[in-house]
Amino acid sequence: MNNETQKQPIKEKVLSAIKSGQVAMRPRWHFVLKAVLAIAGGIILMLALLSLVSFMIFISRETGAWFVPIFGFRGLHVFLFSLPWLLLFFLIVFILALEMLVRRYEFAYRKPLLYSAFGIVGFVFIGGFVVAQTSFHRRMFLYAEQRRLPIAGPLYRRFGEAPPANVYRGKVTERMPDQFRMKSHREMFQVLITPETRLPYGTDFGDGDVVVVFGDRDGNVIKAFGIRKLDRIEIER
Amino acid sequence: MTLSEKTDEEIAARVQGGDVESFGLLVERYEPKLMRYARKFLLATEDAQDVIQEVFIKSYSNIQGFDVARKFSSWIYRIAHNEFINAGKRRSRLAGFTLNFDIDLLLPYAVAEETADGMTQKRELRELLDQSLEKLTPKYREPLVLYFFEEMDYQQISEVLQIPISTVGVRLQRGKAMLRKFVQSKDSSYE
Repeated sequence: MNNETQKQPIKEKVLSAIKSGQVAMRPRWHFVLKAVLAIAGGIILMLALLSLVSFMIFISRETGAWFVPIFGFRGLHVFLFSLPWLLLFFLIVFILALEMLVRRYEFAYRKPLLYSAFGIVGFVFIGGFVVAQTSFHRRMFLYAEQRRLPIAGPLYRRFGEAPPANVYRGKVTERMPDQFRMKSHREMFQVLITPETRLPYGTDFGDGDVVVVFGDRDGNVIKAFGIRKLDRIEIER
Repeated sequence: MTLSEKTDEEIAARVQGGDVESFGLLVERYEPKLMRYARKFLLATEDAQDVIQEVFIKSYSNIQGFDVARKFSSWIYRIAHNEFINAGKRRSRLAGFTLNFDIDLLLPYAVAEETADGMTQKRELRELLDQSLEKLTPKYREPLVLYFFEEMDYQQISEVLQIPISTVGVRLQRGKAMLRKFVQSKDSSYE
């Protein structure tokens, strides 16, 4: 920059840069496209988050892990360790990405970050629970089992068919006074009921009922630490 | 109504319609304000001209993205703020510019309502600020400069800095307290 240019007022320099074509005005569609892409990105992130949360709830129910915290600290411990940490990691990453996206807008940045973060987390978890009440994941899981779900199929099979240790879900095939036989997805079990067995919903279950058994396994015999009968709605969703 | 009587937003609308000369009027109106803002915030005059020129060039390039229903001043100050932050990052001697996340942004503050400083108090604080700007970090310096020198309200400062209104109040309160503390330590007769 020579002395002549330096002395030139800013207005003249800016106008001459514009008139000479060195500076161009971005067209309106550029900003419209940016806004559309940001909205589309936000919607995709929200859908991904709803799918992730509802999927995590579904597989926890499917493996029985969802029902074991009722058996006390030991059950809670198993539940926490059965959580799909990889999916949880993606959940956190997606929530952060959505938060960063919405913070660019006035409705979000005007309020403390905690509000928008709670709003997103609340929406994702409430929405995830609502989606998990539908039969969407049940149908997807069935397609996955029948190898008719090409992309998400392996995900359903990997998480849905791998129950946490000491948790067994199955259908009662033969009820006896202190024990019963149960057929799980792939195996037959003999379940022993002892005086220490926790039965939070009582012993009112019989042939054909679906139960979640929490206990130590020795071969095909499970010494039940806790048994919980599932109702029809819990089985179908 | 002559062009010079039109509001910033009306002139911006003309520029959006292709009237380049009208942009010159916006430059005339904002050059002194942005120059003052740059000098107070960047604490250097040597590159303020270049930074301000860049602010106007960016404003022109992006003017189609400006919503004429909103305040033009908040919009151009936001561009200026971003340019100053970039200039600060380039000049590594300005510490504190790279901080994007702050705990102040996270929590709600009930105490940070807009206060009506009296004229005398405002003038006194402006003088204090003028003497001690370099003692404050950019985080506290910038809202004080916008409030006392650019005479913006909390809402406008919130739009320029894109931070919660309550955080603006907190930073102003803390900034003023720091200024008073600094002056008190320098001059024990100050009350």
